[in-house]
Amino acid sequence: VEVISVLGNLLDPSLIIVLFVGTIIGIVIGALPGFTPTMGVALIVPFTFTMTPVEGLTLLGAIYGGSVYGGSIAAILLNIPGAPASFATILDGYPMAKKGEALKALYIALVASVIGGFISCIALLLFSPPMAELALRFGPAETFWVSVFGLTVIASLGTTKELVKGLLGGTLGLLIGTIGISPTTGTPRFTFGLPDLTGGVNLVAALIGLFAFSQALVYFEQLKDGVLMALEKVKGILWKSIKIVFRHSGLTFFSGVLGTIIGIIPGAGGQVAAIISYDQAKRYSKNKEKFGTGISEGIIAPESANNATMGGALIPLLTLGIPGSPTAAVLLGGLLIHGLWPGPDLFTVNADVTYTFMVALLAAQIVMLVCGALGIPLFAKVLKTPQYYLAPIILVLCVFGTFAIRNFTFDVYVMVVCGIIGYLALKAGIHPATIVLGIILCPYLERGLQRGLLLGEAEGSSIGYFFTSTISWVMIALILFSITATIVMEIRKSRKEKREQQTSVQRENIPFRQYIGSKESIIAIFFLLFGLFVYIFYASRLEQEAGLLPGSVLIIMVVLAVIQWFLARKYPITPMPGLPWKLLIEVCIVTILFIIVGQFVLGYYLASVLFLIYLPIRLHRSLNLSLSPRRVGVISLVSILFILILYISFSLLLNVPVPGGILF
Amino acid sequence: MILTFLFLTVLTACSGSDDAAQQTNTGNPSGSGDFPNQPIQMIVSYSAGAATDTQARILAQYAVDVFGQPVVIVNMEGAGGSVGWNHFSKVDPNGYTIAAYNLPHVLSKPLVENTEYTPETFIPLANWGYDPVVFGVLPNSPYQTIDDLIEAAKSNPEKITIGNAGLYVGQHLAILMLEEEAGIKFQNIPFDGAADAQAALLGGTIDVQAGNLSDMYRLVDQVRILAVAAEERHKYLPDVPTFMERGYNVVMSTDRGVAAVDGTPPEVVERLTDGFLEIMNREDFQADMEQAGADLLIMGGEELQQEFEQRAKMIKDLLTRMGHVK
Repeated sequence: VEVISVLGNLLDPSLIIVLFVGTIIGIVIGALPGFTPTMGVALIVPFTFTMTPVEGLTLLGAIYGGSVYGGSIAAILLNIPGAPASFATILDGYPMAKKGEALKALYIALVASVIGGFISCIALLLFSPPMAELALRFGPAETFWVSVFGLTVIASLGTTKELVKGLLGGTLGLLIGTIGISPTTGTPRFTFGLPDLTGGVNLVAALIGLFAFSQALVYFEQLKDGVLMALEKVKGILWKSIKIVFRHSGLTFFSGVLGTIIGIIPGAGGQVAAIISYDQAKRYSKNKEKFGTGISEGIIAPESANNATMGGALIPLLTLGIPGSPTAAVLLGGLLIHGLWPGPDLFTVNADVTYTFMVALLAAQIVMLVCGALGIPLFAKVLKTPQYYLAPIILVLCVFGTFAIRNFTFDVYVMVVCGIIGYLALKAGIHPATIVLGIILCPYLERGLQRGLLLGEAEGSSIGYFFTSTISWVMIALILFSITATIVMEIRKSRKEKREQQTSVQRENIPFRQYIGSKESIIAIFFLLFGLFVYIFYASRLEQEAGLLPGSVLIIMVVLAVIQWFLARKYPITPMPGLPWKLLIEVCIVTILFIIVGQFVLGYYLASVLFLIYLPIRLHRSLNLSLSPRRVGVISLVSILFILILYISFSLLLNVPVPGGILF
Repeated sequence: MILTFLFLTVLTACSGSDDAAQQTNTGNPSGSGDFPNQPIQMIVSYSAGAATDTQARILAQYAVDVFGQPVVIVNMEGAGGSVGWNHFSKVDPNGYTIAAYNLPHVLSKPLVENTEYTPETFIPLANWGYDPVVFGVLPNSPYQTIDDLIEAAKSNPEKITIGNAGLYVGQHLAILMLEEEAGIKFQNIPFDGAADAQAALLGGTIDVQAGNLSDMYRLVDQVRILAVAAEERHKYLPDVPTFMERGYNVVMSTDRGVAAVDGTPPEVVERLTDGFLEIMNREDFQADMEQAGADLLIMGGEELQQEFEQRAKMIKDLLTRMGHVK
């Protein structure tokens, strides 16, 4: 009833302007590598203080939705998830773009996002109070099992050959996630005496490093004169994409519902929803093996799910004051400042504001469809940027974006280190997404485990606590099913391969001396030694409670390394790829220099200008391009303009205190 | 390029004529006679949208009237506030970078964690917020009164689960104080923030929650508040007893305020203190805070300094006696 009575409020022209402005800001923030939805909402929250409650909330909601969608643009075009929630979209979005169907991928992502967002907004509007109960059902035991289930998704992130390596990546991610003070004992772990590390590695900084920075290094590695990829013609693609999404309407709907439910669970945000949805889509698809090669289902599932988390995350926020995602937590400020306290009051005393906001979010989905459809051809132009600009600009955006998460220069160094780790992992055949999954899930896994053990102890049985609720048993069943399904599939595949190979070449173990120096063996030996070393000299000395998770993870890592060593002996040896190591090392050094000089001497802005002039010119040399004075002038002008825009946005509009060095 | 131009235009359009002055790292202010002659940064150790941030922003909105310069909020969240306060401990002591503080965190964390800041890092300027710790249970809980709870804890040591917002924040310290006073032991479950702990209480995961009055009070009939850790009963909860009334000396609150860094010249400290107190005594400021759900306790200067020292000593003694300080 309230819904109908507030529909008229939508006709307010200022609200419509807010919807468009918010959606466009959101899409742009989402699309820029290094800039995340949480950061976007956080930076805009202060601006809403002077607006009316409905306008302020709608602006934040539109930015939230727009940025979650916008993340898919960079994921598809650049292989860099623009927002954490779009990291599953790179798995099929980028391959599809590489096939020359970038626009098709972009439109499919748009339509799937809009439908996912729609489903969750309907849920928000109609079922908020009853569904909020679900958020409360997720206690420590349930959180623990959901995290374990999330880890089984690693099996979906690559081929058989990569399965063990993917799991190794997962353990590395979990280990990175345990850095910092133990949540239940207060013991510092892996902090090396650095106070800056006591809070742990910032997830978003790690993410920007592992995906965006590492991908920029890939661009340097594969540097060629010209653009990244060709684009198809725009005409008729939107319609075609809508038809494709509707052909998979079951999957779109299922992913939307799944995303809404995962959104409701406190803590887990769009990234978890997207990857679980991708995993489910792959598991139940008829053409499993095509996932990862650029198929529509691989874009629809994560994009419908991640946009659906928004409505889901708002359900417990509005009804109970418990945010379902980090972005929703920031949105809370937009409520509080106007004296809107989450809870029953919001649906009675302030029902007018609340329902107008919800209906506006629904309308925001339509606005998003319009803005997206019109914007996609523009966004796709980014592919026309010459590569010698693109990669350096991504690096600069990584630095600024990481700093703006929480105005913390240490995060920038963390980002660079993660970027280098991510690049090496890529070269080793370990998908960075596996590491990210470990980092994302670690806090939930550990907190669920530790709190569950404490609660169980009080009840008399620590372990028993994890097997008491229905949700726990359902999750355990899902985990067991997921693992058996993977094993059965792997066995079938290897049998099939064997049958095929018997006719051709007999597979044999590669001679030991030849194998020991191969890539696969080096990976195995590295993880074996690393795991043993950290376990013996560090993890085993931690207090029992604080050391439980890191210790277990390290033991699993060592076991996996041994398995990797024996398994990979059967694979043919791939020669080490010849890489432009010199250039890559130079780029890393120059970037680190840029950050240090920027922080302490010149300030980020001036240092960025120099960086953006130096690198493109330097890259001209490696490409053997002629460098006329006019070229140099153009490069300088573009760089200065680019940084000027950053300066106006950050320093003048958003009040981000970008490091000024000693000169400013 | 097009992307960023779009970004820029949109931002300009939406923010109107926001001319918040540019600010860089603190420059060199000339003397303190004309203080402040440039914008002041206020470090908030929590994310935008958190309660501390929202209240600090209300304060900052009034600052330009009083100081003639804007106060700009800089969010540096992480490690339960330590990221922001660690950074704060290293800023130039010229009054152009100040911080929002939370008591008792800034006093307790340095005792148990390897923080760069110490209680002495903070020169308290003015205090605005006050939120006493309360103990609450679900309406269907067997514990009708705080005495029921304490009796039950006596006969079942380490069997009653109690949640708090994190290690060594106000709620946790209140639990430790009650354990010591009553000679009992709870099974203490630390959560990440008050909202997290509240979800656990409402979901029936924990038996009791030590929470902030402001949060628990708003749940109306979804929780039963057993006792307030204040010296006197609270105006919102006239029927709920204090721990003191029941014979347990448990007084603990989460307080919010603003501080300068150690080493700031006394005249600058004085100017800031006077300015912030002037804001806090304004009726419109207090009305705004009330709306945002902040219970006010306005204090400054010598009085606040004494409060800081007293609480620092009390917490240090408590944690030492309970064996938490190594």
